Amino acid sequence: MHPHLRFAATAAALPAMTLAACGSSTSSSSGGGGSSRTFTLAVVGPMTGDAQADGLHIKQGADLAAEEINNSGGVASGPYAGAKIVIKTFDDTESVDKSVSIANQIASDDQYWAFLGTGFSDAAIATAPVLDRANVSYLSTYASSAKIIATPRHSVFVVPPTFPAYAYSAADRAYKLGYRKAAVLKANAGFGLQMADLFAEEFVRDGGEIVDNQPYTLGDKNTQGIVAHEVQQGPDVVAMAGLTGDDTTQLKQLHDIAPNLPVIDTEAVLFSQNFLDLAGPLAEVAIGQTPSDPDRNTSAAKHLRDAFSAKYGTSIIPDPAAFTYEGVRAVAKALEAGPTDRTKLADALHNVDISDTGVGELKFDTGGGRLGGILWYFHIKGGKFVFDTGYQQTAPLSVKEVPLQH
Amino acid sequence: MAEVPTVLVVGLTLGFSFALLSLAFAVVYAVIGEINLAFGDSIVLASFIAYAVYSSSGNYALTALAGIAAGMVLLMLTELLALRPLRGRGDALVPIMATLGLALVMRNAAQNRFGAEDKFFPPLFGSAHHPVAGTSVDVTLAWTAVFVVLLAAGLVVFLQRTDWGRAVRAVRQDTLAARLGGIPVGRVTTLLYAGCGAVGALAALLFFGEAGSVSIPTGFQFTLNAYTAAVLGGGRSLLGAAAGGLLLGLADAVAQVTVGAIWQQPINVAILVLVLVARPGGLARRVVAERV
Repeated sequence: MHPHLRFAATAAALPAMTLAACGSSTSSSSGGGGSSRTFTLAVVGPMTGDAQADGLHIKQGADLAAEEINNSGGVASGPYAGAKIVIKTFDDTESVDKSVSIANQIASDDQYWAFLGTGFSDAAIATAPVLDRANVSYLSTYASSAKIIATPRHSVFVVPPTFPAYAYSAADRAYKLGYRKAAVLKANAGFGLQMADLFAEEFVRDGGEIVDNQPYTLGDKNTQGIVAHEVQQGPDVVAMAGLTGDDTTQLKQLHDIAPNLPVIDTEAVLFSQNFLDLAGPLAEVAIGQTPSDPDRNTSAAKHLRDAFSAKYGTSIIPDPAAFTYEGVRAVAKALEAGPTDRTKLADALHNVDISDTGVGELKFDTGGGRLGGILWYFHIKGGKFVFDTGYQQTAPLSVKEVPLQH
Repeated sequence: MAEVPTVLVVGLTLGFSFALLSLAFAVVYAVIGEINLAFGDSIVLASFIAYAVYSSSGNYALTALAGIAAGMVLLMLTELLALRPLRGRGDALVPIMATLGLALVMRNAAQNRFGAEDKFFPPLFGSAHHPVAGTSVDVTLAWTAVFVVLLAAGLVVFLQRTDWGRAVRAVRQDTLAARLGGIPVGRVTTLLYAGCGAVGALAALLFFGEAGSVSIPTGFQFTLNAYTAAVLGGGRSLLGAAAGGLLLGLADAVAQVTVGAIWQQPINVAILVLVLVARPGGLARRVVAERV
């Protein structure tokens, strides 16, 4: 290679490498007394890596809630009235080991009053006992496997509806729409497998039949054969338990051989502008769910929608953002009871009951599961989400259909 | 037996895609024996650059050219920055680890610049498709098959009939002798990497166009599939690599359509082991001619 060309090539590579080496960092403060006091919350998620978008959304929800609480004067009442919330962000890179390592760090550092976040349930399941042993309140604000709270732990709370709420409501919705033969396409990962099993369990209980149940490797786009196999079993609906990018590819592959076959999302991953962009007109066969119906007509919901839109430029609130927003609000509410240490904060969280966070009612059962959370079901028409009905989690293994709140 | 036609159609769809990837990988691997673990992430980054060009221009031809050019440049940079300084310094594992590090750099560069979510990618070669045997044949498959045949034939002609091709064969046979014979070994090697990048990027653009989106994690799968197919094909054979890709595609189709995708990886590994036991030299022992 000519020396000049070699130099140019080297120079061209440097910006890319520099860009890649950039990370994210945050800072926080703590200490003080009375109204100048601050409470630092650790907000953890995959801020880099393949699940970076989830981490960003977790951070967005936490930042918005803290900003609102602090701008309205801090903790609303009680001995800590006026105290401010400080968010410190940690990147677990979607690694279970890293999540546990961060949990150990938080557990040994008294400045942190609570730990919120983690992207996927595998990390949450591993992190929960570490934090519980140290009496640090852990609010899982995206991961929602029932296994996180299968062993009741005093300091562990799951803010989203748990997996059974997602899967049972999807099965019930599919059945009520008249579908009787479902094929299940599931990511071969903890969340995909659990969600698929729960969907199948409820769909069969309702009277439906599972005609196929196929795993695929997460991120694999070579799924033509799996999709063909599913269609050949004659389903009248396909239930997907994967992630947005995979779901969209499979939607396209399904469309090529069975153009009008409806699909139902069991994971609440389709409520995003990215899905609409990726799927285009193919999205019209999709049925999905989200906790954040933008047309929900309550003052708290309108406030959250407007605040999120003003800060982030969209009224489509991603699930991790909505739940982390709720989690920070729950901690601020618990602080009103004046817990004197981290152990007492968990006691106070068990007594939190917010009638409407903007996403819905928020309170926890004795095992740390969320009660009152609602998943709103939509279909897509003309590139817009059109909401049809809701399902509210009434107990860890129970949901009931509720009307829209428009 | 009812599944046989579906297996064949899906197998050819997957197989030609793997064959094109493997052909690209083998341009370097078969000739100079270097394993580049950054191959997949490089062509994914090239595809994201193509996506950026498509987003701003909407022009398919420009998008394809940008992707192929980016693939060439990224692979040339891999050779110049990560491999050339390490070549001939003892431990053969060091350059491989260097490409692994570079793969992470490429992946993070794509994530930082474009975000981690999949992005819409247009079907550059058309989106027409026809239902066949319970599945669908996309026009992209036809284009992929055409490119596999043309490139395989073109590479053989290039290696047999051109001065540069003879230089490549000389480098393959004995690098030191080629250098002493006045062949610009460095330039020949860079040319091979540029070819690898161009063909690899073409394979990625076809793949993502058919899938409908470009996705960062796919890079690792590209490398894994291309390497497995190249090894199946005998390691040092271009046509063998293409044949290995077709075999791998058929194996995946058998798993997906008949016994379930959960058996896909075990079947792939079993075939690899069987082929290596029965034919240690791979499916094709050699295609690159030895005579210089």
